[in-house]
Amino acid sequence: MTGVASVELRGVSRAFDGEPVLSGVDLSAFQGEILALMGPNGAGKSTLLSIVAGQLAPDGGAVAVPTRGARDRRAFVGWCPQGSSVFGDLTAREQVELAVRAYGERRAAARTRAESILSDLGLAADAGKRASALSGGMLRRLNVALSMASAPSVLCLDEPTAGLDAEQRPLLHACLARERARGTTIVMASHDLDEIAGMADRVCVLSGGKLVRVDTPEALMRGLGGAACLEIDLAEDDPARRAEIEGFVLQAAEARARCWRGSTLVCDVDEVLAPVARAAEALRSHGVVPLAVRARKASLADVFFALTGRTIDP
Amino acid sequence: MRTTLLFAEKALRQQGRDVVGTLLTLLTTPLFTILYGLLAPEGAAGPPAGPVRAFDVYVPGMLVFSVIMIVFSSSLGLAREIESGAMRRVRSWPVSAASVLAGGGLVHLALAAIGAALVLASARVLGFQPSVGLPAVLFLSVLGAVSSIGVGVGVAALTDTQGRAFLVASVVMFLLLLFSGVVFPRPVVRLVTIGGVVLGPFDLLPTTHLHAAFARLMSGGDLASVKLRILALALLSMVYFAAGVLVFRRRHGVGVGA
Repeated sequence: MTGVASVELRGVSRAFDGEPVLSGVDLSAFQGEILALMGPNGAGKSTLLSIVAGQLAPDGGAVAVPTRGARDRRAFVGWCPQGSSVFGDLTAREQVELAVRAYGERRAAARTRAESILSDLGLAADAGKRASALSGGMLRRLNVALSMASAPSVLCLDEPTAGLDAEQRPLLHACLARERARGTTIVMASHDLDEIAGMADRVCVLSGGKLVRVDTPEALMRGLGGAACLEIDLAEDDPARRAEIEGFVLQAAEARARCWRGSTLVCDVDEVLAPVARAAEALRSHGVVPLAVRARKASLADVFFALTGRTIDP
Repeated sequence: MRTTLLFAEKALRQQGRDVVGTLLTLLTTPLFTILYGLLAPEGAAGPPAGPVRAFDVYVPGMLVFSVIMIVFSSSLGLAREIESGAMRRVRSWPVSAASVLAGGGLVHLALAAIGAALVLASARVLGFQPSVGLPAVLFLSVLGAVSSIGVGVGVAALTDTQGRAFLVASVVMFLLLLFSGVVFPRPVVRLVTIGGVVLGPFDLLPTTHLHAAFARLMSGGDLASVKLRILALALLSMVYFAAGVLVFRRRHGVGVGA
C-alpha cells in the first residue's frame, strides 16, 4: 500500500525490566487505512500502540506522526487503551464533552460533538447515565468515544471490540468505517481474527516483539498452501504410523501436509467438502478410526501459524 | 488557565455527587469541635472559668485539623481516578499535569475555606471569641490547604489505589497532628539558628506555621505579628504543591508526545 504515511516507525524497540517486548519494528500506516496488529498475548501489540499514541517512549528507534508543526502529538492521536479509562462518577455525555473541551473546543461546540460521537456509537440513549452504571459493552464504546473526541488524524485502538456482543460490534465497525472514510488512520489490535479479516486494509503480524510480515489479508491468505484447511483428529497418536497415515491421506484428499498438532494432522486443501469424504474413506480403508475429520476455510490463524509456527487463540 | 477552570468544573461536579465524602470533609472537624466544646472540663458553653478556657486553646488546633482533612479528600479523589484508569485517559489529552491538578485543587481550596468557616462558627456558638475576623482565618486556611493538596497529590501518585492512599494519608495526618503542635506541644528539636530564630525539623511542616499563626492571632495578635509565619507557610505550601505535582508527573504525567 502506498499513500500519505500518517505513522512511521523506524527500528522501534522497547523492553520492560530488561525483557525485550518490541525489537526493531519498522512500520508505516497510511492515511485512511485500517492497520490491524495481529499476534498472541505478549506479542507487543499494546506496547506498539502506546508508543504510537505517545504514551510510552521507545528505548530505541523513531516514531513520526505528522503534527502540522504542533509540538504536542497528543492533539492528533486518539488513544483507546485496553482497560477501562473513564471517570466513573461522570455521565457518558459529560466525559466526552470534557474530552472535547480538553482539546480546546468551546462548551457549545463540545456538546454538539459529544452528542454526535455518542450517537454514532449507539450511546445516545444512555448519555445521561454515569459511567459506573453502564454495562461492560457500553463502557467499551464510551472508551472508544473518548478516543475520538478530538477528531484525530490517527486512532490507536487496543482491542476496541473486546466484550462487545454481536449487536454492538456492527455499530463500532460502522463507526470505524466512517472514520476511515474521513481519512483517519486507524491502528488497532484485536484478537478477533474474523474482525481483522473483514475490516483491516492491512495486517501486521507480530510475534515475540518482532514484525513478521505486513500485508493485506488477501495477500496473506494467498500465501497459504490452499484456500481451506483439512484437520484429522486421531484417537491415538502413534508416531510410528504418522508417515504412513500422512501418505495415504494426502494422496486421497489431494492435500499438502502442513503439520501435526499433537495427534491432529493439519493439511492444506483447495476446497472444503470433497477432501473430507476422501480422507475419511482412505482412513476407513486402512483401518484407522479417527475422532473427527473436518475441513474449514483457511483463516488468519492459519496464516499466523504458517508464518511463525505458533498458534494464536482466536 | 482555561484547562484549570475546565478541570475545576469537573472536580466540582464530582464533589457534588460524592455527598458522603463532601459532608465528612466539611463536617468532621466542626462536629468534633462542638463535641469537645460540650465535654470540655469547664464547659465551653458556659462562662469562662479563668482567663482562657481549655476549649479556647484548642480552637486553633481544630482549624488546622480542618485543613489537614484536605489531605484525605484530595488524595482519595485523585487515587480513585488513577485506580479507575481515568488519569491514563487524561494523559492522552493535550493538557498539562499542573493545570489538571490545579483545577481539582481549586475545589479542595474551597472545601478548606468552608471547613474552616464552619469550625470557627461552631467555636463561636460555644462562646469562643476570636480576635481576628473570618477573612484572616480563611486566608490562612486556604494558604495551608495548598500544602495539604500537594501532600494529597503526592500520596495518591505514589500509592495508586484508594485503599493504600487512605493508609498513607492517615500516617501523614498523624505526623502533621503530632509534630506541628496541633494536639500536643511541639517537641523542641534544634537544627539551626538563623538570625536569632531557632529552626527545627518540624518547621518544615506547613501546619507548624499555620498552627502558630492561628494561635497567635486567636490570642490577640494581628496579621503583622505573624508575617514571618505567613511567609514560611506560603513558601512551604508552594514547595509541597510543586513536589506533589512533580511526583505525579513522574509517575502519571504527560505522555512522550508532548
